[in-house]
Amino acid sequence: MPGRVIELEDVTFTYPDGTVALKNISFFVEEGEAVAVVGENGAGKTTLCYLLSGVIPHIYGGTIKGKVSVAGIQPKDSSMRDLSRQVSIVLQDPDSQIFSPTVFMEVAFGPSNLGLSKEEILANVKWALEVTGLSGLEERSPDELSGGQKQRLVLASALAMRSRVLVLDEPTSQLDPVGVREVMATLKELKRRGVTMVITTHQTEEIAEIADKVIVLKDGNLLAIGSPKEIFSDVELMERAGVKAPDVAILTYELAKRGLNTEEVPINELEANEMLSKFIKDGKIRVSGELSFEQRRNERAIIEVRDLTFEYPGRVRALDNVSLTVYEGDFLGVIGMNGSGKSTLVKTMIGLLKPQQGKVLFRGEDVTKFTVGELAKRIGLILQNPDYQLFTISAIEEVMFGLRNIGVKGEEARKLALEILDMVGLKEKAEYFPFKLSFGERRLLAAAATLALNPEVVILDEPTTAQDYRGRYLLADLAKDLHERGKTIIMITHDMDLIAKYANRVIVMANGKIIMDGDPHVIFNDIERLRQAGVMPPQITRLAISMSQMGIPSQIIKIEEFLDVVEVVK
Amino acid sequence: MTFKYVEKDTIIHKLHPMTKALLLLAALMLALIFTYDYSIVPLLIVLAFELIIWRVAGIEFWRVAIVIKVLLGIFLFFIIVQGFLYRGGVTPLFAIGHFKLWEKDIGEFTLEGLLYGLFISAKILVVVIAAIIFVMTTSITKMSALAHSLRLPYSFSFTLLAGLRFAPLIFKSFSDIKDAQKLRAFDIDRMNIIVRAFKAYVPILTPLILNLLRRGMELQISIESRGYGATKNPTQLEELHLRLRDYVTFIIIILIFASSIYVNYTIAPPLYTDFLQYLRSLLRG
Repeated sequence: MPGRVIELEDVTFTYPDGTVALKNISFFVEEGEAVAVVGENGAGKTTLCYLLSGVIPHIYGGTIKGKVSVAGIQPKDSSMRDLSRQVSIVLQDPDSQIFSPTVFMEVAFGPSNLGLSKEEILANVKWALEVTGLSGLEERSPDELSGGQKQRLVLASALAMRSRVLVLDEPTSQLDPVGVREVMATLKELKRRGVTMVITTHQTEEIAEIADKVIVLKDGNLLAIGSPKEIFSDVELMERAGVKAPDVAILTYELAKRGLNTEEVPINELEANEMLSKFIKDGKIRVSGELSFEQRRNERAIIEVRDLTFEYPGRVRALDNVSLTVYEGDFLGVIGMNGSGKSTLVKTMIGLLKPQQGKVLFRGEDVTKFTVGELAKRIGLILQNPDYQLFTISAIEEVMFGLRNIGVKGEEARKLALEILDMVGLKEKAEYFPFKLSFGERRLLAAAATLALNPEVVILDEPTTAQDYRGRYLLADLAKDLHERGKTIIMITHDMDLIAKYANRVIVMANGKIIMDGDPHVIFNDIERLRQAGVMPPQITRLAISMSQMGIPSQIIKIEEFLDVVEVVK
Repeated sequence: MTFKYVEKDTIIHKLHPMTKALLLLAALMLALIFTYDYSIVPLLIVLAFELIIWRVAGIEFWRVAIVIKVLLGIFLFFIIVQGFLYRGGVTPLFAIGHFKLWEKDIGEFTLEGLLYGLFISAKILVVVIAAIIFVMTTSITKMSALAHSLRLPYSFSFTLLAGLRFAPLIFKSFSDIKDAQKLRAFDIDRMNIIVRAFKAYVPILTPLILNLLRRGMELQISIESRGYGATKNPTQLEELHLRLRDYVTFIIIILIFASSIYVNYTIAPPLYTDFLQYLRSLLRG
């Protein structure tokens, strides 16, 4: 019988500032199990990871009540050094965890700290690199690796310790879809090899195939614990916890509301296909409606990109003769792998990069003629990392900074700033110190600072990075609001659900070129070409495509559209 | 980077890092003990020797031109300063005025001063070339093994390693933050120097420092969970051994440097005096 490697009994943890991050948590993990921890930001996921790995209380302080036991020892009674033989931790951002000049040195760092023999270390490193699929890259510099490879390197470094438990705190939240798939495949391989893992994540769809057990946290409480199937099929529970339920589960839940008698709720498209096909054959569901989507377009161009070519010094072409016309009123989604040229394209639009060839016109005028301030009043870019911008002592000061830069003074600036803060929902927190706000709120604040300049075009760069299910939509909802008020929106994202929900036009980039351009319904239908760009359409589209022979229109991209074309027979 | 380590299969790459460090050390020592202008003669011998090693190490000669280009500002500075200020200057080449400072007229640019400036430049070049040979032929793995074999504390070589990796990341963050603030119509590149010095860097340095603190925290978690400091003597994976080629190179280096010192005290002074006389006579026409 496998033993319990991790045991928590009635654990409550309080940070020194009085925040109770975990409340009366009890659960156990058996040898070789993979446990997923889900919940919204602030639910206590990271605290749990820190508690298991001894980061709490050895690096971050606080009060622990109850019993935490990992591999038979209590983290608080042992030192980080001794604990490091039992448990390893992997964090979100690979760049702040890697410090060696070569892959080999990075992975060998841990075991050589333990003073193992040279032979043992070489064996551990070889094994760790093999499991993570990095064999052959030993002498590479980590700087040459892709995001997914870097995070696999961090994983390998933790694995080389040969500790009994691996704790991963959102290992995929900083990666593009290709990176997510790589890391998830590695986790699957680790699971197969019997590594005990605790993984926090927002990626419910992917983790369902790896985890044995799922723990749902909310506000520090353990809301539920069960198999992925039990947890992810419970749409109401997911809604309450602020976690994304699989599209197909929501679909089934909605069909059940309309009177369909379902015995089980599917959590992946295969199960859903099987179940729904059966219902259709049995005549319990009828495919009735037609999918219609209108393509409206304003013909007034606002941004024109003409034959743009950009090369970074000594590197490949980031943009290769790109042309694009953005029309007034577009809600344009930009998708593609990291390094496909998305960010470069946007940076040339706002004049941060000067293209070697070609030009960008804003309402017919060359953008290079504008000063930084003039351009900021026309095109606003909301960046991924708000922490690169915030520096003042209060939220309102932050918004007024931009206004002052364009010459708005005194009371008028204050009045405008308050209006903008009200629009993003931060009016009550106008006097807060920016770093006291949550990450999601800081992003809204950075957005407010950009929007204060009242640009006609608003560009969002990865509005979902490091955000939970609800947080993901905050910025996008704001963008939708602006779009309804007549602004033109450009949104770079890896999140296909976001594109499906908001965009009325999407471009797909690969190797510095735009390879597809059109309505998301049409684009998402072309799975083959999307795969070349490293993109996967939403689950509901994949289901619709797999069921197109049953009469389901394959161009469906939203759950509501699916519900519109089927009818439950009573 | 132009002077990063490049993996190549040459005898210089295979040498024990200590041997290459000796070359650097010897060059540094010479630069310190040679103080008279006639020492340019032995310095040129050493420079020629270094360029041979440069070639043997498979480093392209065009990189020498880059070194000189990078250092040109410093060279010019020394040549100009010494040209006007060198106290042994007796042969004026041109004058921009006449200001007596003690014995010396510092308004005159002298031949001796020019040559002394060139001599200082040569000293710098000899040290820099030796340093580049060391850096371009020694992998960081070997450097940290060298630090270990010199009994430097582990925390020292770790800090060095981490610093080498994080320095470029910090520069990248700096320029990203600068761009991010530009988007809020904050254009530091167009501000005048006084504004820049006093307040313009606040919006850039504040986020930078906060980000570095966060990264530092994460790095700490990352290394401590990998047992940093668990033993005083972490296992060394790269073992360094002195081989025959190292001893031979040792001897060659010592021979070259010893003979340059010998030259410095015997042939160099009269040779240099003759050379000066010749130049002066040329100038007089």
